[in-house]
Amino acid sequence: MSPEAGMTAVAEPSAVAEMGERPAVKRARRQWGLTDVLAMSWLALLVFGMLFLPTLLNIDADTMSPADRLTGPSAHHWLGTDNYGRDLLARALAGARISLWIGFGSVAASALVGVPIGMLAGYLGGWLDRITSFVVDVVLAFPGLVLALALASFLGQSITNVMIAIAVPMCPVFVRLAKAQTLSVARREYVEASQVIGTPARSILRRDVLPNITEAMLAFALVSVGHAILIEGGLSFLGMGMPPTVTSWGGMINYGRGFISSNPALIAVPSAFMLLTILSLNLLADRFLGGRAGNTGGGR
Amino acid sequence: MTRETTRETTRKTTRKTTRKTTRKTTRKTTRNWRLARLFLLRLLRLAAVLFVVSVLCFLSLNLLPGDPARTILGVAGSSPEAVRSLRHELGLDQPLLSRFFTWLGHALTGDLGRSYVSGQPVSEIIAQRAPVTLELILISQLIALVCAIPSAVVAAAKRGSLVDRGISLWVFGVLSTPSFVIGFILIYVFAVRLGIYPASGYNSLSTGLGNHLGSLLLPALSLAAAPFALYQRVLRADLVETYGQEFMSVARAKGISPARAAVRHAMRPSMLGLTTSVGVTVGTLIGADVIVESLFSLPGLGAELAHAVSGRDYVAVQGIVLVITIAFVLVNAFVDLLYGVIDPRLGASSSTAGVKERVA
Repeated sequence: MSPEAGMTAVAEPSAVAEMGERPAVKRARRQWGLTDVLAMSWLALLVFGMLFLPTLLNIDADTMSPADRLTGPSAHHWLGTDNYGRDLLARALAGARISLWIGFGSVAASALVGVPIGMLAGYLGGWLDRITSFVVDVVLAFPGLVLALALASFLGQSITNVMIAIAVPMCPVFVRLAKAQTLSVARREYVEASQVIGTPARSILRRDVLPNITEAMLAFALVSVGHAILIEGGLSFLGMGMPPTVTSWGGMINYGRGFISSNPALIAVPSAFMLLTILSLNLLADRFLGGRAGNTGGGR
Repeated sequence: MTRETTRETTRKTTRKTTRKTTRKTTRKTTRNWRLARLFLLRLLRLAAVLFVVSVLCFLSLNLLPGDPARTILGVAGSSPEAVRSLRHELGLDQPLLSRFFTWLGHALTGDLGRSYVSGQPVSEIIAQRAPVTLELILISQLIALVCAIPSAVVAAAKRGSLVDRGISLWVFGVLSTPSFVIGFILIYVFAVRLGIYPASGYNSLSTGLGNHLGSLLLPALSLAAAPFALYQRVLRADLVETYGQEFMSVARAKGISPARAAVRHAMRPSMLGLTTSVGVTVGTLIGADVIVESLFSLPGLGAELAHAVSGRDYVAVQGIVLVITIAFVLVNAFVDLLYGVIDPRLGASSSTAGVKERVA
């Protein structure tokens, strides 16, 4: 009975065979599976649609046309229209722009702040470590969405404030993860060798530690983008996310609540976009993680 | 065997590095002493975290742009006298430090101020609303665990099989679905299409147990989805690792049936990740609860928070966030204590942090 280390790929038969004798130490590079390709295609399609489809189809997120209210799919309106005659596809694509911007923006912000702090805390230890881990404990003491909700309400509604509200609860998780990864790398022989010959800590961190934790951090960042999109959706759904003038998936879903029995497409379209995007991001992150245990989609 | 020894050595080295200063003393003191000291340290840390959390909650009112009293009253009620009396009630005419201690004193005696929308004391609102939320969270955790444990056991025992991959794919999909989307799907299927369930609303216990639990079923299901997926993944991964260890092969070689081996031998060493995620998940669950309660219009704490946030009822927001956060911190502290019970090998070592990181 050969031991497997944790989660293998989702629906990927080749992965099981490829996991070697000591998968925890050395992970085999996986082939691109069907799910990975599907995930990549969805994201590529989304970006392409976001950039070009509105002009190609001559549709606009905000143009109302009372003549065709609540129509089903047609040649001009591929996914139908809402009760003001606004094109649902165009609105979902406009929402994609906001969601991806919020998702990648808030994750980039919290990673840029969190990863260096975590690396320093892990490598130097001592007081710096104690202080950061206390701050991390305090921020993580607040349930994520509750903190985001409170921040959004106290800061007021704007795209930047929503990003802050999402990034603040996310940042300490990056600190923790970067610290844990740094701790494990810092004990390896080449780092010790570097220390012995007197390399300054700054270049050890940049040249030896950072490249070795990048993969794990990237995988976590991808999951976090999905998570940020989810939180943005939740905030907008509660009416505390974007200002009402900005089209977002959560806002569209919230708006569609009144039409659930008469016209469920108003909810289904933005929900499907959100779901497929988060699913794709999670699948790609899982690929990055390879055989590592169930890290993806962590609770926060 | 080798894995065990490497784990031992790494644990030793962490201990050495983290407690460099106290190395000499710890060597001399007995294990019990160290345990007591660690427990005390943890308690102190917990108190410190709670204190800082309350400071932040207190300061949150100061985050408001301009004069909090004026912002709270809004444009409509901002006659000079009203602003002055509210400033006095909030203590804004006093210095920050004395204000904080007055506030903390009041909060400790259960007085969290008054809502400016309904005029009700915040602590009264919380006391009314909390039971619904607690019940909802308990039911959903129960559903999640009841579904996750068997499916993880089956998936781990038949790892790599079609069943395992099917469950994994399903779990992955659920993990990527926002709770409100699941809620909408449930409402659409059960209320709109089948018509066997009211779309929203809440029946209190006085209308009968069946009615009461019935009105909580769909919300609990939509809340349970994400934790179910997470638990299944974590437990499956841990079980697979346990299956790879030698004592499992020994158990099978002795002739113990696969089912008995799974339940009696594999479960307990694999519970650690699951326990951690249960603690961590409570936080996510509270967040999802805010959304699900407003979706199903349940009179719980989460819906009240959403209501207070959109109504700019800042004092209520402050009080509810404080209470929710303290509850969450205490739950996690309790889970920390449970580690020692589940896995005595961990004892007082600092390696629980590692488990936590993996899950979070």
